[in-house]
Amino acid sequence: MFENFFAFTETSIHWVDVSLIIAYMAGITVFGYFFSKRIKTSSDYFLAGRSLPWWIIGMSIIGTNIGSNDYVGAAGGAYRIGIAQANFEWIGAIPAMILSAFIFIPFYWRAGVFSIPEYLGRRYSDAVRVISAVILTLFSIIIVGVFLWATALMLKTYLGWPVYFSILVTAAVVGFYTISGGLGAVAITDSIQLVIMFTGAIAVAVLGISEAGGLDHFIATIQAEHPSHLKAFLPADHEFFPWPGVILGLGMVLSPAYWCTNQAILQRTLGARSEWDGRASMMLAAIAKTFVPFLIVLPGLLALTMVQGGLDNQDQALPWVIKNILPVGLSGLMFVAFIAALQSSIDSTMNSASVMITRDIIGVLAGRGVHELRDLKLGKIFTFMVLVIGIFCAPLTAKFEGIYVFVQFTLSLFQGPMLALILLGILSKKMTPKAGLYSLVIGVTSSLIMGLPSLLTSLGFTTAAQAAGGWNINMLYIAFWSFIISVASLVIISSFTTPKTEQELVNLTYSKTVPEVLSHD
Amino acid sequence: MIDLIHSLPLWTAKIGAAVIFGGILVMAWILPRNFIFQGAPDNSRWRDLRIWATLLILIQLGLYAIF
Repeated sequence: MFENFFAFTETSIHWVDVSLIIAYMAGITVFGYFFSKRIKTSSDYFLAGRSLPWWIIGMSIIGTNIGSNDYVGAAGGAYRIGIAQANFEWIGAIPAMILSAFIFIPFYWRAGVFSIPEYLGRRYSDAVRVISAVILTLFSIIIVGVFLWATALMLKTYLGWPVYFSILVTAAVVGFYTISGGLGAVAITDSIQLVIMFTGAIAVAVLGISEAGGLDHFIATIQAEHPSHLKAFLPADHEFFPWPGVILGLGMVLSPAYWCTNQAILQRTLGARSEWDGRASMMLAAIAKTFVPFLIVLPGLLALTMVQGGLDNQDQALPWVIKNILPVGLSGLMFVAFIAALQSSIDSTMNSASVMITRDIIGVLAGRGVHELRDLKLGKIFTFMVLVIGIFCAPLTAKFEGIYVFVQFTLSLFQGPMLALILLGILSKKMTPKAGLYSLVIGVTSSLIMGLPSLLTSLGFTTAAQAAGGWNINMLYIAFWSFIISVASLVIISSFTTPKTEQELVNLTYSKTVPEVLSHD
Repeated sequence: MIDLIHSLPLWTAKIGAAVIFGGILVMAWILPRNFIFQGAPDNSRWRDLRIWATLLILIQLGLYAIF
């Protein structure tokens, strides 16, 4: 199977489109080079010297959040289930983003931490810090591999480049500006990439609706032929998106866990120039997020009304729209938007993984404390290593058909427990270090038991899945129940173990922070 | 419990979404004003993030009312 990964194939791409792609790759590399000259310390590298304004961070958050699965997968999802796909951007994002802006970000920023595991370490114990950092780092490395693979497949399809050549080109471009420029380069390139993504998506929306006969005709066609595609919620017995799962699992657990505890998303808010900038950045991202479905879900609905006889595969919806609707130049721009979406996710993941390895794993286990120049050097080395391991992990993606299902499942295994620890840790000073450690272990173990059969099935190990129990619990419910189990465990174990002292909890919990803030005004 | 939830009508989902958005809105407005403005260079009205949150939630409620 691997011989195809080295062969160049011919494509009919126009030279204008090729020029756009090459200009983008070169431009982003040159930009990263110039930004790298500003890096002097590990704080510059990991937190951009705490100098980032709210609007750069806000754009970068959305750039990181929108990956290839949003572009291709959301369009495909909309083709299959309609506007219900937008729940991932609305109820599955907005409440959690507001919660993150008002409750979580101020505590992270005020605590002066470099990472979410570092906050957990200060709030509970070093053991919690190391375990959570190891889980998040392993997940980050898998994600880098998946994104590299997805980018390579696009380059192969569109430009005819061999898969391994594409992986190396992408890794070289992203690796160069991420390793040399750190979070600052990542945040600013993400912002540029977001502008490109929105421009491409708006072009698809405007030209697509025009091609479909105008907005009124487009909506009337869907209402007449696919009325369920205009419903935000699907029945409770729906196979993939039952509404109780969307409300309880996605809206109340998975989404808050992602937006309030995800290191790759939140790291740039830790680099905000002020607490207000950190909060405002997430609110700006939430405003942008509201309109994302019109850009990434719309192509799926366009394909639904325009493709005669239907598509063989739902994920062909967006490629079909790009191929059949966009003119030369714009199709190249849309392809650049694809690449930009992937690169902005890869760079953020690499940078955040590097922070966790340097400070939360090696730093704690070696017991060497903080050293600006040493950490800067280590940070660059570990960013490079994450990229290299990601390159080797990338081909493994081809072995798993349901790789995105696998990624979502992996997320659901630890996000519920992480959210429980951080939420209760901020809201209550009674949660104890021992309760934090045991609840993290109990929560992850319980979700693993609930999700193992489905996980094995998604990886193709059907026999093993049956041996492991054979039940099929939706990942949305796994997240919900692992969160509930972790909350119960935290409360029960805290009731008979010793909490941290008041002094140790300053700037880490609500009751030890807000009254103090108000007393100084 | 899951069986009980499954027996609820589809419009319950919209009520659930409205309750979540409403809860978030209440949370935003009961936080002290000075806490919201911490680190802001001035106390201009446009910097009041509770107003941003209110507008955002109204848009969301409108979208769920339509769809």
